[in-house]
Amino acid sequence: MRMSLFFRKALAEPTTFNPSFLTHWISKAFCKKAVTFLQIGSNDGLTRDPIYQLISRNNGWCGLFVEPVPYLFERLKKNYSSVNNPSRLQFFNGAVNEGVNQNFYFVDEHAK
Amino acid sequence: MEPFIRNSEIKGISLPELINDFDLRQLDLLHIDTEGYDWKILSQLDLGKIQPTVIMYEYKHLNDSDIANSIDRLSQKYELFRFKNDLFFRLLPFLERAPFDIIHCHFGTMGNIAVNAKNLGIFKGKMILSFYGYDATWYRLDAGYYKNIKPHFDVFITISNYLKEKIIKLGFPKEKISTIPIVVNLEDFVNQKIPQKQQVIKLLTVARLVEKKGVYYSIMAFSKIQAANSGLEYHIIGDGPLFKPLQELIDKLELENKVFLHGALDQEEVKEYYQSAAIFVYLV
Repeated sequence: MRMSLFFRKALAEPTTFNPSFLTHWISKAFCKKAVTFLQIGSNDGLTRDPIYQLISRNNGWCGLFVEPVPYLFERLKKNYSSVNNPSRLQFFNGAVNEGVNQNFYFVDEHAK
Repeated sequence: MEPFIRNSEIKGISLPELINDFDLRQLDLLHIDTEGYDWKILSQLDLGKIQPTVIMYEYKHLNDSDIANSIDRLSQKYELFRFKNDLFFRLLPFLERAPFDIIHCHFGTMGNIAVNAKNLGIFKGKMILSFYGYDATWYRLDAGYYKNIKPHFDVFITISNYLKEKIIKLGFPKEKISTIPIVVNLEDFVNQKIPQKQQVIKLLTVARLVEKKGVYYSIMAFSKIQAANSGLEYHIIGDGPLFKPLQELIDKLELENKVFLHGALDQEEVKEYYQSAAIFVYLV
């Protein structure tokens, strides 16, 4: 962990935008401005998320977030609520499976 | 734990339906992070019809057959890269930069990557390798491990003479080793206020969560002290393989509200903890 921190520092860009390793790479993989994404298991959209910065900073990125846990889903929507042109983002509160409603167990947000 | 587990019925949808309903047929980037279900979901994708430019999924939580199946199926249409240890990804950021005159590798274990970069012609400058601790003392990083990278470095730096002796024993040439202790910029702490009488007295440890550091013992010791003294908190900064077992220990001792594992933090954050802590618990 300590090593990877060192490594991340070594990669830091001399600009204000310091993308993490993955973010940096993903940004290199897409030269075009319009990118359609699908993220399944978005969590709150922010925590350790490699594409949050790319989506929030690039108006041309549009797509769908899927998150089953209700309180995380609310946080997810909130975390993306202040981006430019929010209509480019869609949200789905559910799980991807064989297409059946299911009982879903999750840890309460107050458990810590 | 029981009352904290919630259960609710949630909507389920198959991947093809999802793509159809939300009109995602021109998908560029597919990112799946579902703690173990990644392949169950990804396997529903008809790669004959839809081929995102980039697919990211996590194999860490998958069972062996899911990992094998995912590699088998995806490699028919995709180049597969493991992000964490993949040499290509580690060197990619350096490809676009001007050649460096000096390459300074922090931690012995980074040496391997730099040597690869040198062999590939990406690094051309002088090479320095610094040792900090485990990289010279852990039994699995022995003379054999360092044998092939040794000749490629011009200088080695250790943070203590003790470590210098260690790497000499590992076969590094004495005349190329310098000892430069780690220093602290005192200016950073000039304005530090010593915590006045507070209601909560904070103890702080900054360490890797590995067996050698004995964080287990410090938590056990803290558990005894706090039983006799109210208003104590123990903050532990650092990450490592023992993170989960230590969290379980904390839960078992019912110290969730007194002992906090913060994981790895950056220097600024660590500084804040230093400022607010009354006692530093140094684990060697």
